[in-house]
Amino acid sequence: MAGRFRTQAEGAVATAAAVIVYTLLGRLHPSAVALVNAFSIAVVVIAFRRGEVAGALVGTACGLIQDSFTAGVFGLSGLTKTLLGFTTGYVARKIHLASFARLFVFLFLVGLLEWLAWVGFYLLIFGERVYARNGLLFFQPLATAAAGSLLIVVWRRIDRRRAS
Amino acid sequence: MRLAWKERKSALLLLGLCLGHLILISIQIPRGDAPTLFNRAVFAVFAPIQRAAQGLVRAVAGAGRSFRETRALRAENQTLKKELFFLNQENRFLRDALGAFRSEAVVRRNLDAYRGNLAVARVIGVDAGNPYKAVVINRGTLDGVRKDMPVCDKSGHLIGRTVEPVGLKESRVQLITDDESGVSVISEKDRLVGVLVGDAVRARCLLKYIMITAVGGTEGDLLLTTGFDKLYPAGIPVGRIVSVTPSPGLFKTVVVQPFFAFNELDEVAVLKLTALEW
Repeated sequence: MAGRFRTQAEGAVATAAAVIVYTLLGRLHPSAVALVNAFSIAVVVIAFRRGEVAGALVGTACGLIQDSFTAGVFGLSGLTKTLLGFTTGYVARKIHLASFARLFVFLFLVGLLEWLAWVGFYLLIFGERVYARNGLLFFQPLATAAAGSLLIVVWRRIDRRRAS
Repeated sequence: MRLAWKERKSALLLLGLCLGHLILISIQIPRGDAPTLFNRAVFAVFAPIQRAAQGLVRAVAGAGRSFRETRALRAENQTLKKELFFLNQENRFLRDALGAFRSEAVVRRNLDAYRGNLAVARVIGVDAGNPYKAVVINRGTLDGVRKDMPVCDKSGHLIGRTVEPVGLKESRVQLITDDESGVSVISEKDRLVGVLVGDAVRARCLLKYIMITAVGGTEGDLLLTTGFDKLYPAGIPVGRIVSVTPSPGLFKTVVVQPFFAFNELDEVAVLKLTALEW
């Protein structure tokens, strides 16, 4: 029961934090939201810590929030982020990801898959190219992997310190 | 056995969520439909968080200043901004009137309609897909903002119009650089009338339906709204023609650089009048 409450609380905090970071980045520079997708980072961190179900649910929430701030088709990011959350949570349970390098590569790969799915659906629905913002968009999986793995490592250390 | 059931439950959940998203996506196609109730609800719940985040940053940055002094200055600043915006508009309209586009009486009538109908707003969010498509502002129905109200930058240049969803204290603004935006415009020098559409991928606009045989449309020519579209009042400066090239079809390719600079879109003005009121 306490574990479920903690999962829900972590999910809610991560979602709210993603909205705040996304807003601040957008005001800092419009292109910054292309490089750093705060919603994807929140999804991978929660999925990694709390498993595929929490990942999929937080992915749905974050994706729909991102869609509500976007003048596009509502549900597009929701779908890709749900898949991202589930895949990250599921695969993270099956493989050993203790080292930072392994974690980084794994998050880069899932981030890349999510990005490719988003671009694919965008092309399919809109029939037009994605606005790449001088190539910044292509670095999004890299930024997601870097920020995500850093946050997970820091969180792990905090948990370890609390336990000892 | 227990593990297999748990995994099956997870897979079912994923399937359900994906199906839900696919249904959500498919009910919006063909595009151009009004936002769903769910979309409006999510916007209404999370736009205030954006607003709060902006407010928090501003509050921290301005913590050292005296509250009373800030309040007085802010009120004065708001008044001056409205005044400046109005003067800019007046200047544009009068210049337009000199060009014999319309009578002085019409210009005056348009200006009177603006008086007291401006809402100064702050940009609190950008479109995650492409910032040149839409922005979110911190004014909504409680401030008298409704759908289809023109929005200008600090200098009185057109940036777009309010579109749905319009929340209580937040609304979305479709920029003129959005591919789905259309503005009826006229060139100041040659009186060339066309439809300005957005090109969000290249952060610019295109002047459409200019016949290859049409005379005029020179580089550097200023474009103003005509009011024919019944969305934007006439005489608002929109952008400048940067290139005119003949194309294989019936129409010329006219590229327009909008006046508003995205990075300077901090405060904007909403003209609280829809087409039926001006």
